[in-house]
Formats: sequence, structure tokens, C-alpha cells
Amino acid sequence: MSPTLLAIETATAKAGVALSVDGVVLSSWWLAGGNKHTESLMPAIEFVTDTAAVSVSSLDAICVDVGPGLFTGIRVGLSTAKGLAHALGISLVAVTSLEVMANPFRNLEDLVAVIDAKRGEVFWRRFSPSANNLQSTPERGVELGALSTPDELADEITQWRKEGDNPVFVGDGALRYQRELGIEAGMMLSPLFSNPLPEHLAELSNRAFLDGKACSPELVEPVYMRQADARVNFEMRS
Amino acid sequence: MSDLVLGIETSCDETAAAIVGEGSKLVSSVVSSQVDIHAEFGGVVPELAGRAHVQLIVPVVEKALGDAGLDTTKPSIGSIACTIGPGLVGSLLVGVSAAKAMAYAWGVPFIGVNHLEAHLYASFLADPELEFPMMVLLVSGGHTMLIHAKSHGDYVLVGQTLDDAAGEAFDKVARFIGLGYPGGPAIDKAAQLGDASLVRFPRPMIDSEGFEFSFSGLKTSVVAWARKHPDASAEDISACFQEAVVDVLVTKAIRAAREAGVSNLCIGGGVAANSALRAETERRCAEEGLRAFIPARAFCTDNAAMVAAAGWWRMQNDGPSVLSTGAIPNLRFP
Ligand SMILES: [Zn+2]
Repeated sequence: MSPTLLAIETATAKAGVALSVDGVVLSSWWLAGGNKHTESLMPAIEFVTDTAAVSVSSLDAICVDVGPGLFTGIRVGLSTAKGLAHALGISLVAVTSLEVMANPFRNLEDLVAVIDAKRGEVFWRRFSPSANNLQSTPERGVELGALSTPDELADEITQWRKEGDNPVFVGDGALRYQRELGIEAGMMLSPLFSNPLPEHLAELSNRAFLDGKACSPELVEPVYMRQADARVNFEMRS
Repeated sequence: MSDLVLGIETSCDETAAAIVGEGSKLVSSVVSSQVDIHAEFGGVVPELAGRAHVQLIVPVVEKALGDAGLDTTKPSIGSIACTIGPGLVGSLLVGVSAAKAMAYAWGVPFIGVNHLEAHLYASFLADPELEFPMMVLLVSGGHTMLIHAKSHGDYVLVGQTLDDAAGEAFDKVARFIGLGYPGGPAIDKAAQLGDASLVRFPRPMIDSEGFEFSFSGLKTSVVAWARKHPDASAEDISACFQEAVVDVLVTKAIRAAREAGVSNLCIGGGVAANSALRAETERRCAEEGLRAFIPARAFCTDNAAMVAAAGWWRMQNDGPSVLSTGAIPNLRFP
């Protein structure tokens, strides 16, 4: 089977959409950054499907990055993905932002993906090789990623080095806290890959889809990794 | 083309979807309230509301389609209308994103709707024969306004609150006298067992020129009085407070209708579900020879049927909205 997939990436400020057939990206579109996910996403979807001359009715699944990342962005992406999947009667492929970022580097020995979680924290996950597939190192990080302060992550890194490991880093969180984390320039991947990108989401999702990991849209939930702020708003209640 | 509109509403703490025909014929309406999620915080927690909407949006739309006897993945509907503001941004964008996606996938127009205009259209669900012009009293937790509606899309703001919204006053007083959240229904219920003649609270601005409202002073008076009378029951305080609010609202709404020379008076918004406001509007309109339009309680509080109704008329007048429509938390009305 050669799946036709629409990938929706909105977990960080650099949002985008990609359309792939059989793992090959036919068209993609990026938002340079900012806070216009709600406005830009549908026109972008229209653009990539038109450009690839693919009708939405021929899509096999919608792929979406469920985080961790920006709450607002993830909600826009997932609501759009659920709306499309439901309306087209197809399933969703959900992957996490840290997997998407690590995906192009899956042949590296030891990789840590770090996303800036704002408020002085980072989302991160360490990946180690296993065949041609990415797997987490369960003793170090949970499967979806972890939320820590840079200091806490720096302690982890110190521990890894004591054990003789020297991982490579990727992500806007690693860049922002490079000094605090003690990452040498040579161990940091290009800023070009500092955000999860729609093309990488499409490629990763294609493998997940072929592995039978697509599911019904109502079963997919965002990965927040942070409790909701219980700040109450009286103004808008009706 | 089908004349059925799928309405979607996620502006605050209700996830709702509905099917309405020709702007007034109710086919189905589903409202999933999050009140239990927010009750322990004494008010709506925006982040929790946004999270709940993401979980509920697809099941709620599916149920509205199913209840209407439509195919849930290939429904024969003519358009999708969705609230784009005002409201909580993290809640609004869930509905807007899902609605645009479904409209695109089904190849039907998307219509962005102003939530406050939608509250006004709840009256058309109550009575499709309702005709412009009319005076509309829109009262909720976030708004208290009088609107002279001359025709579809042609509205003049006659007056609004200078401080607290009426619903906000209900919430604050309820919290003070220990009735909990949400305050509106709690005070309504308690007031039915209370004595409204125990104390006459001030009627702020009831005789003032113009049509502005102010409820913050009334709330302060109630709190001060309750402190001095620790033995007074929550029921009696509720009854006296509610009577003061209702008196101001109805008196000014009727005077506004008279001055504008219209004979239809509609009420809408969450506070329009209040029993005393409904009864008093009915009674005073009858006395004054005005026609009162009081939507069923379920269409006063947030729902998607009113959004579908408003969307239908938006579509007739202005056509569809573009797919780059965003959520506008501070969208103005009129
Ligand atoms: Zn409302």
C-alpha cells in the first residue's frame, strides 16, 4: 500500500503542513513563526493539497503532532486534524514532537531532543539506536518526553557523561540553554532542525501508518505534560 | 443545496453542536457542559476549558448529526456556522479549527458567527414569526446590553453595563453568601424559597437618563447588608438581590423599547434563564402592551442552535467566511 497522508505540524511556533505519498513529500508549506496558527492552517492545507493535485477525499489518514509544545498550537492542529479525519471518515496518526525532531537523525548513536517549554523549562527525550527505529531509553526519560528545568537536565547530562556517554543535541530548547546544559558547539545539530517540521512528521507518520498505528480521531489527545493554570476567568462566562 | 446548518459553539465552557433548518427550525441540539470541571475553582478555568473542548468536539458534532438523523460522516448539510468570538481564545480556536476543517472536507461553506449576535437569534428558535424591529436585552456572565435590532445585521447599541455584568453580580453575590458556583442558577433556586420583601436593595441607575447599567454598587450593598445581618438567610438575600437586578433590567428594557418605538422585546443570554427575569419580563410586557419573546432556557444559556440560526442569516446577507478566519476573543458587537 502507498498511503497518501496529510501531516499537520503546529506544536511549536514554526507550524507547517506536508502532503506525502508513500513516504515521499509532494508538497509542504511552513509558517515562519508567530501566532497565526488558527488563521493559516486551513489555507495551508488547501495549498498543499492543490499543489500536489491531491483531493482530500483520497487521503488515507491525517497525521498530527500532539506535542509536547505550545498548548495553543497543539489545540489548533489537533482540532483541525480531528475535524478533517472525522469528516473524511479516515483515521489519525498521532506522533510526539520530540520523535518528529529526532526522526531525521535516527541513525545517530545517542541523541537528545530538547524543546523550549517556556517559563524556564524544557521538554526533552533521549533516543538511542535500535535497528532502524527510534526508541526511548526508558531508564532516562519517559516515552513521551519529560519536563524539566535546564538545571535538572544538566544534572542528567553530567550523569550520562560519567557513564561515558556523550549524546548529540537538537532543538530550540538545547540552543536556548546551550550554556546552562554545557553542550559543546560540536555536539549541537543545526538550528535548521530546531523545530519539529512537517516533512519529518510526514515521513515518521508514514512508517507509523504502515505499522498499523493509525487510530480513530476521538481517541487522540494532546500531550501537555504540564498542569493547567487554574487562573479563573469570570469575564467571559455566560 | 440543503438548508440545514450545522452550528458549533465553543466560546466558553460549553461544547455544543446543533442542526437548524432555514435559520429557525430546530432539528437537533447537543450541549456538553463542563460545569463540573470548573465548579471546584469557582469559575471557568480557561486552560481546562480548552482541554475539554478538544476531547469533546468530535463526539458532540457526531451526536448532533446522529440525533438529526443525518449520516455522521457524509451529512447532507448546507453549511457550517461557528462562533468566532467573543470568548476565551483557547476555547474558541478549537471550534473554529474543527468547523473550518469539516467545512473544507465536506465542501460546504464556513460561516463565522459573533456569539452575541447568536444569543439574539435564540429568539427566532422560540418564534420563527418574530419580526424586526425589536429591543433585545442581552444578559450574561460577561455582558449586559440593550440592543435595538432594526433588521438582520442592523443593530444599534442602546446601552450597556458600566462595570459588572449582571451574571457576574450573581456569581459574586452567590459566592459571598455561600451558594457556590455557578451563581445564577443557585440564586434563582434559593430565591424561590426566600422573602423578597425583607430588604429593598438599591436599584442602581434605574431612573437615570440613558440606558447604562451598573451592578457593582448593588453587589457591594448586598455584601455590606449581609455582613450587618449575619442571621439573614441565603434564601432571603437571594430573593431581595434578584428582585433588584430584575427590576432594573426589565424597567430599562421596557423604557428602551418605548423610546425606540418598537413593540417586540426579546431577552437572551445566560441570565435570561433566570425565572424571575422571565416572569417579570412577561408580566410587564403584557401590562405595557409589548410582545415578549423569551427563548426556552436551553437556548438562553450557551448553545449551538442559536449559532446555526445566526449563521443562516449571516450567509443570506454576507455570504460565507474565508478559511483564514481566526478566533477573535474580543470581537465587538454590534
Ligand atoms: Zn453566551
